[in-house]
Amino acid sequence: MAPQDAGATPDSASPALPGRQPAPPLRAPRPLALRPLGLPSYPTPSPFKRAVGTLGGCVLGAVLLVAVWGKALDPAAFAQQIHADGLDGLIPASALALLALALEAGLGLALLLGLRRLWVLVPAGLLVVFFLLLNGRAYWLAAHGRAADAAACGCFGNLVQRTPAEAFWQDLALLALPLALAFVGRDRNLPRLPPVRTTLVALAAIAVPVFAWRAPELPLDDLATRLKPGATMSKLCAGGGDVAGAAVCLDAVAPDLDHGDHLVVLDDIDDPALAKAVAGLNAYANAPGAATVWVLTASDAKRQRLFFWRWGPTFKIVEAPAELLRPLYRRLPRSFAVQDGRVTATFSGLPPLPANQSARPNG
Amino acid sequence: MNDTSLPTRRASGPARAKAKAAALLAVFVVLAASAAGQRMPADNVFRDFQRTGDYVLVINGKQVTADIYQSQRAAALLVISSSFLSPVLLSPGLGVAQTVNLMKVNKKPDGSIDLLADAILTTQGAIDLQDEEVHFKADGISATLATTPPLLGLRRVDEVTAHNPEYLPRAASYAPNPQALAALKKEQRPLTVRIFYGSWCPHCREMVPHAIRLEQLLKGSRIHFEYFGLPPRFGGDPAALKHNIKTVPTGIVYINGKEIGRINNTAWSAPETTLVAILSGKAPPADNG
Repeated sequence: MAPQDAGATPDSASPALPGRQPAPPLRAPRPLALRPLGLPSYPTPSPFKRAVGTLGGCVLGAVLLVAVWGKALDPAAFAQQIHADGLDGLIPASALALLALALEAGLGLALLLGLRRLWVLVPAGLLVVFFLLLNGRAYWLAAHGRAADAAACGCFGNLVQRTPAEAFWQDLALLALPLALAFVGRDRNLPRLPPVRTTLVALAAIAVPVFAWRAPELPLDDLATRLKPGATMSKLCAGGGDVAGAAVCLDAVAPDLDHGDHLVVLDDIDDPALAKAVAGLNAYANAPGAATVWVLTASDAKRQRLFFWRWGPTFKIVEAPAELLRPLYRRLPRSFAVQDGRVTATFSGLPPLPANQSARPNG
Repeated sequence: MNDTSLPTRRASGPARAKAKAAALLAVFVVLAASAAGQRMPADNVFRDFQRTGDYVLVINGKQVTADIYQSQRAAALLVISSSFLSPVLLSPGLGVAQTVNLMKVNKKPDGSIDLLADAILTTQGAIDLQDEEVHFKADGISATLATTPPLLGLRRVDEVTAHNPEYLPRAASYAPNPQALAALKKEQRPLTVRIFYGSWCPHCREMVPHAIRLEQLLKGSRIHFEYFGLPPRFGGDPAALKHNIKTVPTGIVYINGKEIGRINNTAWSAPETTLVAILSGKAPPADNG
């Protein structure tokens, strides 16, 4: 009997033994799908897909880093926002703000450097979903009239509130779309932790919160806020969206600022430093030829009346919406000089006055 | 609490006799000066008192008639009421109530008040601040300044200015655009401008007087003004919700009961030009919905 060929077909096999099924034919083993070292083990995406994905990642990274810059310059405002959103149940808002900045800075830089690995994209995705949930909640509250009713007080009612619908749709366009694109055309053959870029990301995640921690002490008010020399009263506005004439601007709150010389203090009316400065501000306000002195405050009329009866200010105190004042300072008090509606100088704290006597309280 | 013996501008207490003598002398001097066609100059600090509607005077639990003036420059209030023998000056900075001879109160043609330079202030006692109420004593009478409740609902201009007398001098000083005013006087369509405002709102204090001035100057025209007072938290107020009022003051312009435009925010700096723009269909879409 001739030896059976391993590659023989059943037809060519020897006849089956009586009472037994014919054995299945043996197949030749396939060569293992091993590729030589150095060649990609996953299909390489097309250049177009890679470009689209890289662009999406870079856009998302840039958006995150721009947001980080604004928040890092004024971490107190970010912490206030965290507190207002009720996110500081377990960790203090200020600490949470620094942690969030570290995360956002690290992810933003990673995406900008083209690191579209899952360890970057998944947390970035969770972050985007989180932002959308926050804005979606505000959108829902506003749509059901809850947020508006709670905040509608003062002359300007709820006009100056940011439109939650706009915020939601803007976030969706600026964050969700680039995130989705960032998943396109990922080259999974690249190393997960490229040493140089990973080191840069780690450094950013450490450096940004450290910078944010020290930022309030740095003389960056003009950089961090909209109030800077050259700014005009009619351009310092809040709210209104794209509805003509619906925004509230400083020249509407205090029309007199558009003409003549003024010295304006932004402060909380209950700030003890302001009470101590009343005598000095009064003396300056009553001096012949001096600029008109104003205090712009978000404090309500009741607190203003109490301040008047306790301290006897001879300068003007004007209520302004908190949403209008908040982008103008990092820490209170902050002051600025105005000439014919244009900011000529800004001061951290109270304005420098020739004399600063202490006032005595009443009541 | 402030020390009530804080040095005031004028002698008080033991020096009262001297002060009275000085007052008599001052009266004599004033009379003499008046006779000579001259007038004692106003005090350097206690001047430019304007009527304010922020407070009402309460004595024995009842609101009494009083004219209450406030001076920004002096950080003081002057209460003139028949309930007191003399006008009462309340100085928060010093924390005291003082009386001043009525003869030394100079009412100017624009309705504001100056104290004359030789006015003698007689300290009556300390001001006691409790919550938002200001308690004081003058001429042996205990009195309270309480904050005025807001004026609500549909009102005529005289009711508005009676409640907020500080609107009147601001209205008098407002000079509208003459061309726009002339155009409005020629308007033949019956027009109603309903101004939703807050008597408590500091922004309205600046802007509502512009409407009042327009109303005064457009008397006899076909343009009718009316005022609607809203409460401080007007977000949930039925009238505010019905008319979609987001900010005060907001003026809604109607022709034959149909809204044709709104005046709000910076448009109040010159409402007559906004009105002309609305009537000519050139105004930007108002934020009314």
